[in-house]
Amino acid sequence: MSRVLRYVAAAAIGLFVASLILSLQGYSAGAFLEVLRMATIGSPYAFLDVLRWTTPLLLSGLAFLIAARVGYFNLGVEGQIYVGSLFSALISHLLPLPPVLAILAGIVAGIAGGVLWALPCAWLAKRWGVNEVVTTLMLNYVAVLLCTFFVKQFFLAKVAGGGTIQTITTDKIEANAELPVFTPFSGLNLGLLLALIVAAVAAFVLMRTRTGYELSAVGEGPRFSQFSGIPVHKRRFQAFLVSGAVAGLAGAIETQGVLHSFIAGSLDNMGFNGMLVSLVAMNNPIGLAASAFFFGILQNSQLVISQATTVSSYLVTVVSALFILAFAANPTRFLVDTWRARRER
Amino acid sequence: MNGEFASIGALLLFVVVAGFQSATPIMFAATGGSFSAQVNVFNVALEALLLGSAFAAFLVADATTSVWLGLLAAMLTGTLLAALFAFLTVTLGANEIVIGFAMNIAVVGLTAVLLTTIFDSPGSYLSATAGKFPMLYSDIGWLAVLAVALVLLGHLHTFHTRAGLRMRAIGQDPAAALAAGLRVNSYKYRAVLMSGLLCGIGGAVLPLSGLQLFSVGMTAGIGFIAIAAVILADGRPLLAGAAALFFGFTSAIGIALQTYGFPNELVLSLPYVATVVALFVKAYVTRRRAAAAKAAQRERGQARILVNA
Repeated sequence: MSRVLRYVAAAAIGLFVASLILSLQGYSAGAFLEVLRMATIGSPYAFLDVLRWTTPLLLSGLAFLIAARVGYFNLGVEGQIYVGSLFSALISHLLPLPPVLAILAGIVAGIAGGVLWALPCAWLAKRWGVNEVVTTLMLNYVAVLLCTFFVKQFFLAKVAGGGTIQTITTDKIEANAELPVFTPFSGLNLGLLLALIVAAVAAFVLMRTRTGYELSAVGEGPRFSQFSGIPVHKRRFQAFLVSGAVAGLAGAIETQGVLHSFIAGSLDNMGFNGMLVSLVAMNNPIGLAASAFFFGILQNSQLVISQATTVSSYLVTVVSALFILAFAANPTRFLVDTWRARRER
Repeated sequence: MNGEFASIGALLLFVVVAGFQSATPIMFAATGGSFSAQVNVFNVALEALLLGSAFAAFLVADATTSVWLGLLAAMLTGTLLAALFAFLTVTLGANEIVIGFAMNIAVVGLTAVLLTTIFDSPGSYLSATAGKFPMLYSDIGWLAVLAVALVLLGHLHTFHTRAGLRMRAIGQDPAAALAAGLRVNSYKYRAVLMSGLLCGIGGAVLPLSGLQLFSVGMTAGIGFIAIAAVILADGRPLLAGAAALFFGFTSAIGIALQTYGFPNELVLSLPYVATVVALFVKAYVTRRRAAAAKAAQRERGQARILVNA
């Protein structure tokens, strides 16, 4: 009951602020609900696009979740997705392969990129106890800058006629490496299936196996785990790297499924949204898909807002952040608690 | 900047000026963050406080052409945002990292929405009316002097006042502090609000010195760098201020390297890399010291055994 109340209260606050901002701009009070409707079932393709966004959000949420299970805040999912996406694009250019192999190579490269970017933070946290919140955040900025640098320096897309283009992007990847799309109308591709499988496997491992138990034990009570013989630091380190791997996979699927090249700036906020996805699912792998779907709708609303209104599409960012603020602070529990305390007195 | 510097002197002068310029907002935020750290509140919202107050300063200074009213608005905004952070984390007991980070995303979004609404410009807006803070020398503002002064005042407050002592006590053992009759939450609020006030000043510096420009997400992680400075200093304002200066100078050296043909992106990533490296060095030194202390203790113990024999 209180759990339902918690979601409803958070949604109400988000909806209220969004409606307030829209109505201050002269739109009707129900405008944001209309936006949400259009983004979900407004057109035959809208729903496909929601699923298209659900794919990377599910993976980036899972990446955050896996680290959170052992008590790490991996705020570097953003950067790990970036590097994964770039690596996936590069392997296709450097190593042309036949159809299925090319897809696999791209995905492996993406995963390697994610792991590579998580590695320094994971090592510093495990070996030296360096706060991972700051290091992961710092490496996000470095990832964006370095990826931009490498693309500009070595892999910038060639323009017919020798001119230069404004967007920092690589050439299109080989057709062999592209993940097949389900319909020609939307970017929704085989990646969704892949993401669902990975999430299901992760949920199984986390909930039903000894490894999963150890990971939760490490997160919930590191001292106790230590004494019961679980290699705490090792499990944490492994979870951090797997977290990076999943983030890298998300980047690879973005490159091979939708963008078909590495495009700087097109991945912005995907990692941070993953944190929101995981938090709303209360770090529970079962709830993750539903949560990713919910944020998929919000992500798709961003497009609707920028097309249908003059309001900045950042409105959606505000809504999701406020939703999380309200959700994490759980004001209803506070109210219930104070009310109870008062009655008992 | 085009071409290289005329002389070594010119280069040094440039680095000093640019170093103080970029260190100023970090120093404010790091001093503020130190107070939060002293009462054991991990203030991840520093970035949000800086960005929110930067926008407030820009908005008010643009409308009124007075940088001082802008500064006032920024201090108010910083304090209000800090009050929200304190309410959610201290009173409601929510996770500091989650709240701080969500606030950061919210403020990025909200300032972007307001920038589009008010100035009709999606990415960034250059103000013709905002003006800038008075400069002491070249691009070093008087506010840089204030930042240094506040670092010193912060040090005095921490180690030479009753409130500072109490705040540190609360940070080290809240239960004992509570038992000693201290109002723990009220001191926590006080510390977080002080962070907000200082971040307010730091935020105002960003759009109102140099170019009168506000761009979406213009803080670019300096709030997080300030957090790193606080961690490096274990919440001691003097050291945190020094760390802030170090990070400021790192980025200034980067900008100077740019004029020697180093690629833009590599140079811009210098302060972030320096932050990670500094955190590593701190952890390394701390562990070494702990090991040495343990060894010394063991030796003393052995000596005592010999004496007893």
